Amino acid sequence: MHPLSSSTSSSNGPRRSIRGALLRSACWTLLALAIIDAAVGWCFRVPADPRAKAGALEQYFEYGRSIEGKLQRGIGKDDASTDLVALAGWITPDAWNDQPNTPEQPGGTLVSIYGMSFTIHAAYGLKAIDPQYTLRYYGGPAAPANHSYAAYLFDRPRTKAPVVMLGILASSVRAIGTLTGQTWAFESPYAYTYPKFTLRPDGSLEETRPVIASVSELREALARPEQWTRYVGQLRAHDSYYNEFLFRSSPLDHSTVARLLRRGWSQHHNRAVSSRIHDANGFNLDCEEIKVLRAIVTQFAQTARADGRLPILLLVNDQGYGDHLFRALEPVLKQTSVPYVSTHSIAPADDLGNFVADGHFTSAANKRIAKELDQVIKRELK
Amino acid sequence: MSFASIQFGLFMLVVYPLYLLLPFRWQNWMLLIASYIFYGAWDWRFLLLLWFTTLLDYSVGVLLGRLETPRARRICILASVGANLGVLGFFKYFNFFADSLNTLCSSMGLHLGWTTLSIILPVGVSFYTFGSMSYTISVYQRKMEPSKNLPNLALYVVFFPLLMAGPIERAFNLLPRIEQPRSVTWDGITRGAFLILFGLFKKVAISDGVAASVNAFYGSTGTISGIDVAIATYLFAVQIYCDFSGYSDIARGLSKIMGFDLLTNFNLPYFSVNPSEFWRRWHISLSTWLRDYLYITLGGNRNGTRKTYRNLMTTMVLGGLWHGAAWNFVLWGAYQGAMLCIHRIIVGERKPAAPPRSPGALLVHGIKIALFFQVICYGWLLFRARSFEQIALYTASLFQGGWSDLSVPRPPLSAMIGLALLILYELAQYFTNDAHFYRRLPHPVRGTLYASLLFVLFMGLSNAPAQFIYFQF
Repeated sequence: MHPLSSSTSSSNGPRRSIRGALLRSACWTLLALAIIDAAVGWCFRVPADPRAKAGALEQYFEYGRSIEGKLQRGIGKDDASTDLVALAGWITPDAWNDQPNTPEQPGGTLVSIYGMSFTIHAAYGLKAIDPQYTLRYYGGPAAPANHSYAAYLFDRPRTKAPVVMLGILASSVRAIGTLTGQTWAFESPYAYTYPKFTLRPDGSLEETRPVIASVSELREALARPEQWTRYVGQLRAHDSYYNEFLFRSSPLDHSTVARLLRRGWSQHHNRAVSSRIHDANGFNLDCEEIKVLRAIVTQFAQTARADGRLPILLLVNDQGYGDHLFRALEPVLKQTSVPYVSTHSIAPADDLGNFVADGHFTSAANKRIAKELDQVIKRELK
Repeated sequence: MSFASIQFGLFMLVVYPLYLLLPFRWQNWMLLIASYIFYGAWDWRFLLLLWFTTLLDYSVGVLLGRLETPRARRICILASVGANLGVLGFFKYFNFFADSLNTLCSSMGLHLGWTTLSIILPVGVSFYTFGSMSYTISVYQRKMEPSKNLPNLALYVVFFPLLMAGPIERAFNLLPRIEQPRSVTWDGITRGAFLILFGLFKKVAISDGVAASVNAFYGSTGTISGIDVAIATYLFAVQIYCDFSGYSDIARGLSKIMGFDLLTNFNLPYFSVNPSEFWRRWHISLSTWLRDYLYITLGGNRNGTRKTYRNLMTTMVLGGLWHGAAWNFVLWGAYQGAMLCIHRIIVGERKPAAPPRSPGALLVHGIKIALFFQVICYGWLLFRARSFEQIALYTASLFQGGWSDLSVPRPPLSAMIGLALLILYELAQYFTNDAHFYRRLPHPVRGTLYASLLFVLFMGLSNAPAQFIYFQF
């Protein structure tokens, strides 16, 4: 049967008119789509100033811009004209400049904390429960455990805290195979970079450092193609979430429809990478990321104890992760006897009442977590 | 291979051009092989079950064609129905009944020691079993001649657009179209393409969008408020409608572009004002199947009022159980049956009222629709709940208040804009009383409608894809 030759239309006339109507419809659809594309792009364009707050709709239609495109918008010519989020999380010597290194109260306890927003919220709760605690904090937005561990290693010779706390966020475990928050958090990429750890055959950790280590280096690289190419090459070779279509900027960034399509593709790509590491039943215990995470926990406990410090883990099981993080780390927690607090039993992830709209814990849940942390610290320091 | 996946897009990129290029005698073979590949992509092991069902019903059809005595024909059809229901019962209900019997006996102090089996539910088994049964029953009822061509019958059973979640096309409707050359026309292609677009829009932009909020709430364990229950259940009403009618639209659209006309499975169900109307508008292929093969077989309304109510209740409870092997589906079926009985008690045999015309009558009609929507939604609460305890807790919450603490996550923008667009579209369909009203719109307006649907669909591509709800049935 020849295509469309067996039409019920008996003559060429009606068939031609239907084909003409189809063509007209297609043209009008494309024209309308182009108008919607341009109109939405114009009405909901993000402000040129990286520091200016974009509205929810502006952000929504911006999510699909390429990572390079978002970095070029967010990184200004100096720190003062750079998006505040882009300045966060870099592990540099001056990162701890404004952090205390002695207890604020005589006889008080200095606690060094490495993690992300969940950790700082719990730490604030700790301070609220007992003001004798002094917090020395460093973290990055949604930081994965390799970032927190690298921050700990960086601060290790500097901090005088007798208590060191490492926060691990369940939803960031999938990013252990990355070098930067740019690649795995596509919609709102975090500019900061951090080392990637891999396991050597003897079980120790090997560190791959990113070729860009500070916001000023990132700014410079964005302006110098050869440096940028080197950086992108490193991501392509070592970062588990890197994807050329999502990362590299192109003229498609100017089209709202293309941005929506790229955002859809990013979800597909990220799900494909994440599904190797985690599914509805829990973490894949055989994947490299979990093996590295367990090694990080072991190394953290060993090095802190060797320094005469009390190591504490805060396991944050956020929404969608039940007790998965706890279950993935349970063997290593037993093996190392490292003191820990796991949120799954204090603020269960499947209770919506424990969370605010942006996915963080409510203040009541943070208080409960902080209370548990306080008890663990006091019990272990006795 | 879900309709809303890249893999399916690639599958159609191969299948459809081949379909257009091949002569009729090869088209059916190609569709048959493609359908087996489509089904095998889910789980190739269940192809054996499909072949068993096909061979069984083909043989029964041939036998029924040869047998003359009513008794022999009756034995033959009973054996066929028994075997089909046996397959369905084993794969879908064995564990449910074994579990329920164990629980019942344990509560009476008896320990049977039965264990459940690790049975995987074959995808779409309820749909293709009912479709296949409709063939043998139609041959038995002499509504059609038995098929002499096994590949054609096999294609009827396994036709990929309908395989996973219907519509449950009757053999006497679809099989003749399989056996005859089809007309592929530009008109059919445009209508089919619109159905596919509209189905994807409903599934991807709306249903998948609200699914995360519904699942988060119905899967939560903490304290809940009345407003949470109400909002999550309204969202589920949106989810299940857009999911299932979206699937049906895509199935109809795919068939349409190949020259097959399938029956409409949903006709503005949430515009119903009573349960009887709802079941004439919701999952029409199942409700008519149950009416023709179960309700009427049981006696329908021919044997007095009491037996009519019994037949209604039996049909709806079994219809509920058809959806899934769980007591909440039985309860949902009983609820639907009770609503139908109550409605029958109130209105009797009266014919449905004519559509309202005056503004006052329209307002009253609108209020009736809104009120009956609450009745439908309570049914969805029974349907979606995971246990009787959850049903009791949520029902109590609806009456205990707590109307200010909303914790259900807000659905994404694509779902909210998509829902607004869908409501406008369906209002236009309802008031024009024309499912194809959009075809009469001027080209620029029609183009804007298509572009808007496409744009919202693109917005929805970032929603986490959820499996079609009815695949589990």
